[in-house]
Amino acid sequence: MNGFWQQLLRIDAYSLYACGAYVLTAGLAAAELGLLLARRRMAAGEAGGQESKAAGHKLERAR
Amino acid sequence: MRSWRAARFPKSGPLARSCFSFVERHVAALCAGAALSCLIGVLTTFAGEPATASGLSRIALIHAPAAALSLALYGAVTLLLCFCAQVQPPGRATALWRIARAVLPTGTILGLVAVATQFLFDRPATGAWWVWDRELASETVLLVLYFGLIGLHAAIDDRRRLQRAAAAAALAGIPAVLGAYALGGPAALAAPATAAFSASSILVTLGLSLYALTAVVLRVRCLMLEQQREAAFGFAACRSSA
Repeated sequence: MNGFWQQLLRIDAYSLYACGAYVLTAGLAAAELGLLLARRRMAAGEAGGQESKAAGHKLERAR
Repeated sequence: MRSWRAARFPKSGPLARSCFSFVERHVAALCAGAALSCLIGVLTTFAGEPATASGLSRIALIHAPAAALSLALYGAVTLLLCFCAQVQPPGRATALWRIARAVLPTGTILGLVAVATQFLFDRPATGAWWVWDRELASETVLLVLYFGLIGLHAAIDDRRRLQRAAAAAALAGIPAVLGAYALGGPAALAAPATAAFSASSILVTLGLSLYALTAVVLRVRCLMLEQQREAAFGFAACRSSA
C-alpha cells in the first residue's frame, strides 16, 4: 500500500502532464454533458411553451 | 413544463427507441459509470507500474483511447453521412442524420484531447511542444476535419445541399488522415506497448465510450426538441397569417 501511494504521489514531468490531461478530459466531458442537459431542459420548456400556446389558441377559437 | 420524455421519436424502430429511452433514463448512472471506469483504470495503472517507470503509460492511458475513439467516431460519421446522402430520401432530417450531427462535437472533444495528450507525450522527450510526427499530423488533420464538418453544418441552410456536401467532405477526409499518417515524420516517442491493450486501458476506453454514448443521445434529443419547436413556430406563423 505504501508503494501505491508513493507511485500515486510521484512528481515528475510525465506525472504532472498526465494529471493535466486527466483534468482536461474530465473538464471537457463534464462541461459538454452539463451544457447538453441545460440545453435539453431549455428546449423541452420552449417546446412545451409552444404547445401550450397552441392549445390556448385552440381553446380560444372553440369558445 | 413539458417533460423531455414526452417528445416522440419519428421514423425510428422500436429497438432504437428503447435504446434511446434507456440511455436517457439512466444519464446519471451512465456518467457515474464512465467516471468510475476511468478512475479504476487510472488507479490500477498507477498501482501496477514499477517504481522505475517513466510515467509514459500515464499519458498513453488517456491518449490511446481518445485517439482511437475520435477516429472510430469519424468513421461512423462518414458512413452515416454517406448513407443519408445516397440511400435515404434527400433533404429529410432522419434519425441517422441527427445521430451523425450529434456525434461531431463529441468527436471533436475527443480529438482535442488526443492532440493535447500527444504533444504532452512528446514534450519531456523532445523538449519541443510541437513535433510533426505522423501521429500528431494525422490527429491534427482529423481535428481540422471535425471543425470543418461542424462549420459546414452551420454554413449551409439547404439540407439537401448540406447532406451532399457533408458526405463528400467526410469521405474526402479519410485519405487526408491516412495520407498525413503516411507522410508525417517517424514517431518522436513510442508508446509503451503494454499501455495500449492493458486492462486499465480497456477500462478507460469503456469509460470514454459511455461518455460519448450519453453525449450523443442527449444531443440527438436536443436536436429533436429544437426541430419540434421550429415546426411549432412555423405552424403558429402559418395559422396567424391565414
